[in-house]
Parts: sequence; structure tokens; C-alpha cells
Amino acid sequence: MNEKVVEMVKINKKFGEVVALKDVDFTVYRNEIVALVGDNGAGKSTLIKILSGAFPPDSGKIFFEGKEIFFKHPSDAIKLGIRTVHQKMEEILALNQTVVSNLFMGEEKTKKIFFFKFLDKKSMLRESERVLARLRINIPSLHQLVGGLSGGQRQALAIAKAIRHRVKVLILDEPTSALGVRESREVLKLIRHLKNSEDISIVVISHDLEEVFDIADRIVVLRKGQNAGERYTRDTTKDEIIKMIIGAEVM
Amino acid sequence: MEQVTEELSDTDVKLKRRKRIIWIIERFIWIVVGVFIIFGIIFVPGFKNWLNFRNILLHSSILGVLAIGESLCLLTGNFDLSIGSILAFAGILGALIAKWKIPSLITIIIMLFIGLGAGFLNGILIRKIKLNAFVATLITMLAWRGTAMGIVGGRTIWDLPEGLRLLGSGTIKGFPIQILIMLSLFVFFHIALTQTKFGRHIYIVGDNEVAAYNSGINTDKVIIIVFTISGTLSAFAGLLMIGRLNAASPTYGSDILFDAMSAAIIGGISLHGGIGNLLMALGGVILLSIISNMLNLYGVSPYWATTVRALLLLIAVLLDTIKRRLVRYE
Repeated sequence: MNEKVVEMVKINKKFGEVVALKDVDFTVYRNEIVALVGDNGAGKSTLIKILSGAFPPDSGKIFFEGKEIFFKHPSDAIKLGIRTVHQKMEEILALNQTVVSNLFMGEEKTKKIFFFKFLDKKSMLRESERVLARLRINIPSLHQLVGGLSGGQRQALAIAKAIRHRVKVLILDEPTSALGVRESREVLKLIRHLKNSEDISIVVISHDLEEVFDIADRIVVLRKGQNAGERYTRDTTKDEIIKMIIGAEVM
Repeated sequence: MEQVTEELSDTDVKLKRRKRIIWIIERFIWIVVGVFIIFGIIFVPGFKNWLNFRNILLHSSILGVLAIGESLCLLTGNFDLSIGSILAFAGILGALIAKWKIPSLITIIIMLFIGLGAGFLNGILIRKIKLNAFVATLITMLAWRGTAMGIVGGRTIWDLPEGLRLLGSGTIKGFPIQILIMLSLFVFFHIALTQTKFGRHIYIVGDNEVAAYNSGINTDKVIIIVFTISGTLSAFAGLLMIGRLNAASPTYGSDILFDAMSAAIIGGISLHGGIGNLLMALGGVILLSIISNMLNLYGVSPYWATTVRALLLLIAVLLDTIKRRLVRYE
């Protein structure tokens, strides 16, 4: 539990004159669910984008399993086993392509014949079935276009796509914000199932404290681009976290 | 619990019905081609003979080669307006080089490299200089056309060496080589699109570029390569054209862009990218050829073909909208 997988130290990021992050520290331990909470503009998304390689910090260090790392492109983070499921489904899934095509997007299995990389459709189909079964996700036909799936199915598919490989850190950006009550519950169940069945650390960004207290082991609060405190879920209350978020009381 | 199963079976039925409609829409273009052929055989005098079918395919060949490149660009969600100009530019340079008594094979290779370079330039302008594809290819469309005109002062170059004419006007046992070339290119690129990793990336980039990028697909590379292919195919179409006519004019292909684009769209390739395939585009090419052939046989002015094409385009775009709505979850 105390093994650090990711350690971000004194991260700073400015967009023009706007300070998005100031000296932010963020640590992810092994096989935990850590929630990153804060008001709009607190810097949650910026921090996560830096961790997923979308852009570099202005200053600060990132360590992954004890080694310092530098990302040039999101694929660098992916190579290390850091995967992000973005808040907006429309930034993850291609709606007019099939379920299998989406699951393997960018990482298609191929057989090389002469110079050409031919798709290995059979093995992709088989692996898709396996991954979805592993996560207990129920999608009627894998040849279906993703546009025909429900919101909950799409979110589940997005998570399945992210953890198809061995993933060490899974980042979920507002995984339930676009879903109905029943679908949200399904997705939370899936996240818990993931933590219990695999060796994976999960970072969840959320607005919904109910949800955070439901699934997170630890809660990290950001306020106005700075650390505002962190607590183990079992040692804190919603009131305390809310106070940290809005800065009503110094810890 | 009971209610849930009921709900499910209801969506199942809807899904099946939608699948059937989509199945028909995807083959719609070939159904239309079939209807037109039957109509032609029954009602159009002179339609039903092999020479005429050969003419239709002949008319389709240069257009088909261009439609492949345009379709690839459209599948990524981008226009390529420069295909007709690259055709003329490569044709003119090829004819000029041939006058220096350079072996035809080398001339052909140089022409293809001109197309490749022009297409690559399109890709660079769009992805690296970040110009809108429409604007970028509008610029190169004018640039290559103007340069082709300027080099020869608007004149036509006649009498090309036999090696240069072979692909455009040669035959194998009476069957025109250019038809065979066009059909094999369609088969080749169809397989590339549907069976290879690169082909799949074209669809994904066209459907959702942000998702493609987030998944680690090199979107710039995909689009630059697609435009490079389109440019190369345009130059190749130029080779066929100067070979067929035994002359190179800087005005070649000045309105073929609209034919190639309408063929792709009528065939069902979506302007928004990510939907459609090359066999549908081939259907579009052949349909356009059949229509102008029929109007020709009827002695109707070819100008009316444009009006018919407008109607077809309208229908095609409406079908595209319907299809997009059908695959959505409601």
C-alpha cells in the first residue's frame, strides 16, 4: 500500500498569465483508488493532463516507480502504463466504427505480409470478448457501431479500452458525470471490481463527493491550483473535505 | 425485472430493423447502378452492346483513379481540391520531359514523383502549417494549374512517344489497359483500407481525430500520407490522360474535381469522414459514366448530365444524414 507508483513534485504550470498549478505535489500509491477533488478551475484537469503526457509542466519533477520521467507525447505515458479515460466520451470513441475497432484503436493487432501490416481481425475479436468478460461488461454484438451503445456501455467500453493492456495507473476524469443514476452505479461497480481483481492504481477526478466517499481510499484536494490537503477516506468526513475545497478553514 | 427484458427485446428489434436499413443504404449505389443498367438495356437504343459497356468503363477509368485519392482524403474528413491541377501539371511536365528523348519509363517515374511531391506538399500545408484543407488545396489547385499554363503558354503539346501512350491507350487482346489499371487500383486500395492497420487508421482519424490522437495514432502522418497518395494517383491519372489523347494540355482535368468528388459522395462516402468504402465510390464513378453515356446516346446535350448529377448528389447527401441518424442510440 505504501509503495509509490507515481510521485509528482512541485509541479508548476502557467497558461499565459493564468497560473493553473503552483507547487503541487501528488502521489499515487500501489493498488489504491485516489480521488482528486476540487472546485472548477482548481487545476485537477491540468494536473492529470500533465500526468498523461498531454503537455509538460513548466517546472517540477515526475517520478514513475522511482525513476524521473519526461513526456513528449501521450504515447510516452501510455508506454509506461499510465492510461487516461477522458471526461468526454466524444474524445475517446469513434462512434461510426465498431466496438472491436474502438477497443484496439491505435494498437491494432497485425500480421505482416510483405510490407503491409494486415489486421488480425480474428485475434482482435477473441481478445475483445476476453476483455469484456474479464470486466463483466455486457455488449450484445462486438461488430456493432459504438454510436448505437448506451452511455453506460460507452463508458465501460472506454475503460475496457484503457485497461486492455497491463495498466499500472488508470486515470478516470469524471467517469460518471454524463450518466444516469443506474448507469453510474454500474460504472462505480466496475471501478471497484477493477481495483480488487487487478494490480492497478486508479485516480478518479470527481465533483461528486458521494461517489468519492463510496469508492476512494484516499482523497486529495486542490484549491486554486495548490494543494489544499489530503486525507484517507476512513479518517475524514464530507464536511472536512468540503471545507478544504472551498477553503473555509485552514487545516 | 420483467419490464427490463421487455425493454431489451424492444431495442433488439429496433437494432435489427436499423441494421437492415443500413445494409440497404450501404449497397444503395449498386442497386441504383443496377436499375440504371436495366433501364438502359430496355429503353436506350445502342446501350446494350459490349462496345458501349467498354466505353462506359473507359469513361470511368481516369475518373476512377482520381476518385480513389479523393475518397481517401474524404474518409479522413478532408477535401483535396488540387487533383485536377496536379493531373494537368504532371501531364505537361511529362510531355515536356519526353521531348528531351528521355526513356519513357523514367519520364513516368518523374511524373509520379511530381504527383507525390505535390500531394506531400498539400499534406504539409494542412498538418504542419495548419492550413484548412480546403484553403490549402485551393492554393495548390491554383498554383499547379497556373504553373502548367505558364510553362507552355497555354498551348497543347502534341505527339508523345509510344512508351508514354501505352498505359493510356494500349490494349490487351482488345481490352483497354487503363480499365484494368483502374479496377486493380480499386481492389488494391479497397483491401488496404479494410484489411490493413493503416486503412483502419484512416477511418478512425476521419471519424474522430481527437480520439485517434488520444489513442496514440499519429494523425498528422495518416493525413499527410493520404494526401501524398491522392497526389500520386492524380499524376498517374495525368499519365493516362495524355496517353489516351496523345497530347498534353494545361487545361486537362479542369472540372474533373467535381466529378471525382460527386462520385465519392454519391457512392456514400461521408463528407464528415469515417464512413463509406471504395467499392461504393466505384459505384458512384460508374453511375456517373452510365448517366452521361445514356444522355449521349439519347442525343441530349451533355450539359443536362450536370443537372442529373446535382439531383443524385442531393439524394446521396440526404441518405448520409439518414444513415448517421440511424446508427445513433436514442
